[in-house]
Amino acid sequence: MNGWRLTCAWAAALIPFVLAPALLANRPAISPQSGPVTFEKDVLPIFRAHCTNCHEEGNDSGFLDLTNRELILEGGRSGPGVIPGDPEKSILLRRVLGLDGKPQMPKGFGPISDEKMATIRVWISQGALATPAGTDTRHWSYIPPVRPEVPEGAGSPIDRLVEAKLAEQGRSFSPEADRETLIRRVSLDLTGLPPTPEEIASFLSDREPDAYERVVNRLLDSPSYGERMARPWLDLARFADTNGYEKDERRQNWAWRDYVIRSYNEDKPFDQFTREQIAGDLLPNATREQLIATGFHRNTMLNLEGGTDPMEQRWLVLVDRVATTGTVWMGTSFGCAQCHDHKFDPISQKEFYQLLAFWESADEPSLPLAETETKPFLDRLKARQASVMALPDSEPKRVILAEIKAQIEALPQNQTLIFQESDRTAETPIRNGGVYLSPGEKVVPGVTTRIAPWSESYPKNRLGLAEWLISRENPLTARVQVNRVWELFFGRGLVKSLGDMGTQSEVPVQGALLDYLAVEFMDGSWRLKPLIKQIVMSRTYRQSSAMTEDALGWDPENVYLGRGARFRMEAEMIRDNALAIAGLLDTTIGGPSAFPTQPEGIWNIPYNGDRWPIELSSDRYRRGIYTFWRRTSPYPSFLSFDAASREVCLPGRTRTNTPLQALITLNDPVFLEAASGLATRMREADDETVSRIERGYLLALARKPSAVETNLLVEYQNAQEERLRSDGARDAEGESWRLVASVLLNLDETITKE
Amino acid sequence: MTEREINELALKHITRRHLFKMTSYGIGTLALGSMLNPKLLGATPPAENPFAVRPPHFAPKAKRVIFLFMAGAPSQLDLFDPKPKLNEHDREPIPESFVEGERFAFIKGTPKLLGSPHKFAQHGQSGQWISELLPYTANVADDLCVIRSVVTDQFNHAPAQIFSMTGHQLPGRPSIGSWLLYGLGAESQDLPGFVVLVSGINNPDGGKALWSNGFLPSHYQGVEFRSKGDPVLYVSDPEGMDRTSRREMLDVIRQLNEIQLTEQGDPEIATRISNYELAFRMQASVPELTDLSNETPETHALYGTAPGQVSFANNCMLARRLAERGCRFIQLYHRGWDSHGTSPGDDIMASLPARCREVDQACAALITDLKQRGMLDETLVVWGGEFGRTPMNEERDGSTYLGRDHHPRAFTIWMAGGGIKPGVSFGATDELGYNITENPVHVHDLNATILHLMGLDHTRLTYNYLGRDFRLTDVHGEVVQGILA
Repeated sequence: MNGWRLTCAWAAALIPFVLAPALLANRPAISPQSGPVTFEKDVLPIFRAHCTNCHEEGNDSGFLDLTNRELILEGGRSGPGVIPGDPEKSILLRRVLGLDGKPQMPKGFGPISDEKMATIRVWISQGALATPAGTDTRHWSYIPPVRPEVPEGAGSPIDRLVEAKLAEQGRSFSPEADRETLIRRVSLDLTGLPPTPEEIASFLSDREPDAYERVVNRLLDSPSYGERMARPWLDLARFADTNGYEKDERRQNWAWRDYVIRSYNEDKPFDQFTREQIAGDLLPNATREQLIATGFHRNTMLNLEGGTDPMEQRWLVLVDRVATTGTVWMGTSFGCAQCHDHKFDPISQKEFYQLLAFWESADEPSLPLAETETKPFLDRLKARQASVMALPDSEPKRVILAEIKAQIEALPQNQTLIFQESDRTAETPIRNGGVYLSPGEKVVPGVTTRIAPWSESYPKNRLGLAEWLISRENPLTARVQVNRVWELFFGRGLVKSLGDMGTQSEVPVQGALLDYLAVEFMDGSWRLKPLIKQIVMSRTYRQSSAMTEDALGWDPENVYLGRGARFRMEAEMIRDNALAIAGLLDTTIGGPSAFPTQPEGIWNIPYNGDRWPIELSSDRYRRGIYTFWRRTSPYPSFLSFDAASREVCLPGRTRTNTPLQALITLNDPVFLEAASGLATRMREADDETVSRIERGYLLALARKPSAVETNLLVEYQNAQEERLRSDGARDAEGESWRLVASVLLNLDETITKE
Repeated sequence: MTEREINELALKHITRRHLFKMTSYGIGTLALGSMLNPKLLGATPPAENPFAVRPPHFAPKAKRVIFLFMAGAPSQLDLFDPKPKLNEHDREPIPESFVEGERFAFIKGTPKLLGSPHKFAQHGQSGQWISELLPYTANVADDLCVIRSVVTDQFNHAPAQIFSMTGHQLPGRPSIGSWLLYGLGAESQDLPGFVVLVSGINNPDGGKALWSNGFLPSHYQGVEFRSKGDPVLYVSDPEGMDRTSRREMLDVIRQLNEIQLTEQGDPEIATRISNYELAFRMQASVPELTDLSNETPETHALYGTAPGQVSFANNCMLARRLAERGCRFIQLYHRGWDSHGTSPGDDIMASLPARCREVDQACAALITDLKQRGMLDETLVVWGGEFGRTPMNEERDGSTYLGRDHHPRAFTIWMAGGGIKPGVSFGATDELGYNITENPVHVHDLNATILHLMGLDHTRLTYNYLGRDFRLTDVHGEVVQGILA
């Protein structure tokens, strides 16, 4: 993990190596395009973030007021704060560095970041300049994106922008990844599933110049694309199958989940996607689809514990909606303004409650699903019922039939959660200090106009809010969305913090690329597929992900994009991938959530006797996105691979690497079943050991094994078969191949996109 | 200082991040080198090991915490905080001044006071007051610091429990165990550093949010040992797989991963290789840990345990074994303290004494056992629930069983061991036990104190998330100096 403190011994040992002059040029926390470092634009935001709680007029008590450049030059008790051109003698910098035996500023909060210190230093050495009048001093992300100037040259705009940044560092692109790597990478990225042997063979033999493009087109048209793209949206929307909190009872909102998948597959423009989810019920002649879409903000948790005040609980839900809206659409922590004006970003406490007021006039009913909406799933259940009925009588058969019968009976009563605007006046009191029991002045719906203006043409309701979110003048929405898309494919956003693009976020090295993508997204009618196509067609995307020692040393996080991305798959993809490799994956789309095998005793919820049904039918092989999500007890292997509890909005998952994950791919019954499936496929391919191993590699890794790899596995298979035979195993040969298959499913490469 | 020196100093800051990068790269190379010698590899911690021991802010008093969480909220007025006045005015309406504007979970109207039906006596040299329901605990009274003035912000189980453990009432913040692991690392590289053991009817109300890593990286979440089946999920190999064949499989996985590491150069591969080795070691160390059959009969008699049993007492013994093996934060939950008095199943006459019998002997045994082994000095033991119970009888829907509603304003917990003053009572409540009159200790103060004893300054243990530095204690919390040894 980044950010570990180093022990002194390590630091001391390494300092001589890192004081190389080249590092002097390391970037301060300013946008590289912005010319000289100046006060209002570059330095004041740092002081506002770290210093002005104490060092400002009104709280200054004899100290320096750091909001005013003139006063800084004039100084406080200890003389001038800054001597232009002389950082060495400038008290301000000396305090920030913790020199002269004085406490390091900001006192009690630890040093400010290295980039910020560098910014202050550069500012002083350049003469402590004021920002010229008329300069837009807003934080970069609050200035609406404009199409950046793309350097001349060959290649796509994305590549030219990336190449220019690399050139500044004296670097260039890595070579293109080989075709096997490429088709696996792009298949996993666009559908969450590995390529089949047939797809690989067809791509490898296709020598037409547009072979890759046709693969991309096919993948974008695949129905699996929507399932793949929906997963991050479900994390953002905190979609789950239960209410959360103590009792954590079941709820039904899967029709909304299916709406999301459908929308991605149809490539619904993001502006319309936004309108429908924020205010589908307010659209003229709203369709059922648009009503179902409003389920986005019905995914909030619901507390039904004894003694809770229903009005307070509702208020907490509204608070969550405001915070979630800010994070999802604008990468801004609106939530901070619940209790006080936002410390860093332009959101007042009053505006927080104005945003909250949008939901005060909304009723929150359930919408019974229509017969046509449940019929496909009913038909499926009935077909399964028929096929189970045909089996010889047994106890498991009776259990499965009883379960299917219960599901058939329950399905017509299924419903989904929606909004319906009421006649109530939309107003809400500001809660002083963010405390429910302390209501203050009442406010009506409104937005944070310092970020984007409110047009009088917008209706003063949720539909207006949606229009504001997707307006061209909203500087954040498009940037936040494309940044998230980029992260999906590259493992790191152009701005690293997916949930925060406010003043506390990093200044992106690839700011021009971010803006290019944001503008392309908006100019392309907010359609995602063309944007994604541009990204995955780029040379940047297609680079080899091999890391040379040199690359790791100069750019370990791949900020400059001088190589392809290599990172571990997300939780659901690891499972889907294994099932697909094994030939077990059930690709049915949508419907009520599924219950794949999980160990007994995982659900153990107070005041709730709910039990995980033992799913013996093929529903256990559905894609991970359909796994029943209990908030207090999510599917265990997903949790181990960093999935969220879905209690609150999660802008991005962390990626960890732990021993518990090894135990899952080694011993979780799903992965054992997958190993059996893969073993069967390997054995069916051929009688020859080597050919079987090659088949296994093709299925699991989309490539041929090297001679060394083949030899290792041939030896392993022989040894295991021999051991099993001498142990008297019934099917020593078959068992040995299951072990080989398990080895393949446990390779780092198998659970990694590279 | 010259211009050059000052520049170098500034540069040092500029390059600290690079320094880290160099280091991680350095470790990566180290791991790469060790590939050549598989024996060496087994002993090498993973690259960028998130559990590596990290130095505290200052010298710690305790190395680990065992937190005995009594989920459901035990009645302080029947266990630790005797109120003769309450017995004197038993079943009289409470004076209006106390309850005006108050909100309760279940009580409606003007409730009646409820004296404790259980007898209190003073125990040990210290003369601490402890109820007859806890005779074993009374025997270790001189080791305990009983804090009678704890206060919380929340009056419902799930939010109050989550508040106790994460400093915030809504799920989503890191729990104290995760913070400690993040701040200090783990001493054991073969076992999880933050373990949760649950007994009683089922999981505590707050669920897994109570041991969540929140926004910290997920390897800092508590690992819940399951009481049935594998203690750690999937730690057992499937039927037919013995240690030799598992080792052989891991060997071939490792060799193939090493080839990939050479070709790709990604340090994550080295980490994964190490993690497979650690998983293999855990497969041995976890069953060894949870096998209580090699404990002496005397020790079993002390705790009231039997191997293979599922109980709070067994979990206490397991806690000591985890402590011996370097586990940083051991959290026990025992549920069933919610004595509302709606039936004999949740009253203070039958249900509360039953809960006490389930935990009393084992809690005292844990203190005694740790002391005998010379471990109490460096182990902080905490006992308590998420809030207290009302001095009034709840009488929900006219129930005739005696019980008390939720009471966040004042409750009792005890602490013992590492850095805590033994044999004292701290704080006080009014003569009805309704409000605190002396030395209030807020949940944030308790958490600040626990971090302090572990060598961490709660104001400096921060993590930046969504643009803000978060702390366990938010912007609150004072170390409770009065209970420090």
